[in-house]
Amino acid sequence: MNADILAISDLIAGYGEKKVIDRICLNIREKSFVGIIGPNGSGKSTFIQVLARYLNPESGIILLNKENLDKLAFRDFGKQVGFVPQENEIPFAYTVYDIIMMGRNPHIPRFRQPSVKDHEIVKQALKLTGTEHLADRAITTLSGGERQRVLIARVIAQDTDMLLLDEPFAHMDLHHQHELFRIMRDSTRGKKTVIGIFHDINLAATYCDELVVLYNGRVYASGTPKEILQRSLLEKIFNINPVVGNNPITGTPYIYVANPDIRDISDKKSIHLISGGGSGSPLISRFISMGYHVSCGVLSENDTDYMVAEMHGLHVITEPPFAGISRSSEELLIKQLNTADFIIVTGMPIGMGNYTNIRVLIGIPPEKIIFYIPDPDIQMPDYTGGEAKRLLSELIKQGVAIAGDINEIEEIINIKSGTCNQQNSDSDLQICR
Amino acid sequence: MIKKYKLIYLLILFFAVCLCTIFSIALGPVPISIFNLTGDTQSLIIFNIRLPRAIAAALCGAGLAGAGTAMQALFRNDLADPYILGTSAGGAVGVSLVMALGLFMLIPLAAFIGAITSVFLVCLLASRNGRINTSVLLLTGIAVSTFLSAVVSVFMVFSGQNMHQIMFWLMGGLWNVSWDDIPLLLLFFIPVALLFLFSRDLNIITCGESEIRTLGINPNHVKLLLLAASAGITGIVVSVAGSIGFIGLVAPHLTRIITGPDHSVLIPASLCIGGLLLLFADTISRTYLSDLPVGVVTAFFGAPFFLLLIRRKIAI
Repeated sequence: MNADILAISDLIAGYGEKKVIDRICLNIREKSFVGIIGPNGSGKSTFIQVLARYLNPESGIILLNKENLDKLAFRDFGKQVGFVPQENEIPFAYTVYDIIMMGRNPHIPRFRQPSVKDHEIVKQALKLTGTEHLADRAITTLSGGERQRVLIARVIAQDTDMLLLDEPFAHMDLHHQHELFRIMRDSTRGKKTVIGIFHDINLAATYCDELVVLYNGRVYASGTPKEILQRSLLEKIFNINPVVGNNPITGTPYIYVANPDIRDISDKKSIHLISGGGSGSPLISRFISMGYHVSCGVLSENDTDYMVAEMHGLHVITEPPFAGISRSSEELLIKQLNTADFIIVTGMPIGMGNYTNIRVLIGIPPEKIIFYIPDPDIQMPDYTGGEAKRLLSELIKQGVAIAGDINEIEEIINIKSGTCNQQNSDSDLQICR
Repeated sequence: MIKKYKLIYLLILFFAVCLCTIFSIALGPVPISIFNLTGDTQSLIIFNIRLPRAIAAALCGAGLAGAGTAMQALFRNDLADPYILGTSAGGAVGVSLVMALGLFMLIPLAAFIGAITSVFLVCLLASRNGRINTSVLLLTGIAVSTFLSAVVSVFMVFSGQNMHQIMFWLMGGLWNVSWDDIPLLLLFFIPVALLFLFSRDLNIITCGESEIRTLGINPNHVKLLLLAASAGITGIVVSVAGSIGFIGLVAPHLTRIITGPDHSVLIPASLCIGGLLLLFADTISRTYLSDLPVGVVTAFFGAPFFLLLIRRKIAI
């Protein structure tokens, strides 16, 4: 375990009367990569500005390597701490090379010229950040993303123990965000401490060792991305309805926002979804964002639809993988089907394992049921020896509605909720095999 | 840091100033060939009137340009200049006060104090939470400048016999200049040297407010020191030549086009360009415009230039 490079206690800061930072206590371990997250107005930028000494705190103590930050001469401070601000407008046409050389300023004694070593370090920073071709260009002619890249090169050239980043990748496209994050990560890993504000939580979760959540000017939580990115915390802090999954490639948490507002959805209809093999996944997200109460099942526990439903925290009737549908699940399903306002059946393959899901529909009022067949060419393969095919034809005869896309489903639901007698049996549902 | 070709620019500019100073003394209401002086009157005109005046013009222009360059960097604003920000007017208040009192010995000191006081007054009035907005800065400069001009007028009314002197001096002119003024002007090379030594700090200050400290600079100390230095230069120039506008605005702009914004080159080059500009303006005024105050000539060219800059700023 490394020692603390930064120890902050009872920090209060703000603008005039307004306290933006309200008694923050936080220790940052040496050589860790820390992401600060939090909603707008939570005090992230103010916090990092205080650490960069751009803003003076009202009270509190900040110790940098056990030295009081207030007492540190700026030249010594600049040797230890580098800063990449959020936005930077440079009004005069300095060359990129000169801008990066400014990072060496704390290391060059006043009244001296930069040494050979300084030039060497600047050239390395240019190479590392892929800005060599820009070296002689004027900073005023660069795009926002390129300019930010130069400022990152400058902080790398500054070669400090601690780096402060205030949303340094905000202006960049996806490719450059990841590229620069990786450069930052690789050039500091095991050598330097990085504290950064990152708006993109998924990006932060991918690269940071530790996340600190600021909320109303206080540290709400801190820990590893896995510890922090919990549904309940995100719901409270960001006021969203999040889906926390796992990025299958990096193994880090991944947030998807299903519904930007946590709305009161009690007046919306309830939908039960019978699906499988991923055929229901897009519907789940859409229905939730439309505000419906959604339940699913019966689903096998290794089904993609089950995983999606689980991430959304839905009520799902499940069976272990490859097991058939048990008696008790069937009872649960019938109960669910009777209470649901609508039942949507997707175009999934039907075999003996999930045949029960279809069989129980016979006892349900057909006007509650909607078949969802997004593409007439993709048919519902029948692996039950004609049994399922016969059953489905029977249901269609009884007047089950058929929808070709999600909007059509909503249309049908709206019409039926109003009149409850509209029937749509003209479409031809193809059941083969 | 200074690249070789930039050093050559500087040498060329410096020689240009020297050459122009020499050639300018040949021009004037009385045609005199400097290579063929005939008689005492001609050498009197050349050595006691035209030469000190030409040197003073070059020095005053250089001083104003140096102060303007530093102010544009310190305020991160290429519309700043000692005249627009009311620094010259502050000097004028000091000078007219001591003139009204008849204490002519104190003119340089009064100009110096007046200029420094007014620049800090403008800073204080224009800043909100320690930050200065461009348009607020310019408007504050104009307001303070207008107020100080009114103060000068009051002094003039109550100055009785000395009113004429104040008036002539105020319009910004170099006709009074003699060899005695040159040592005083040379004094401003002390604050100019200070600006030059802090050129790396000036570069960093122009590049962004929030990361000055992490780049190892104490902005409060450095800005205070350099602002006082530029006001000091302005005060010295004002005490000799009155308020001459727009040299401090135009010279840094022209120079940046040639040398780029690096202050270790920009400051010396800007001194040369400023010197050349005022030398031209003064030579034109005394040769062709029957010694119109040189401040009038610079305003004729400088004010449209200022408007052009403002229009470009607003377009962005």
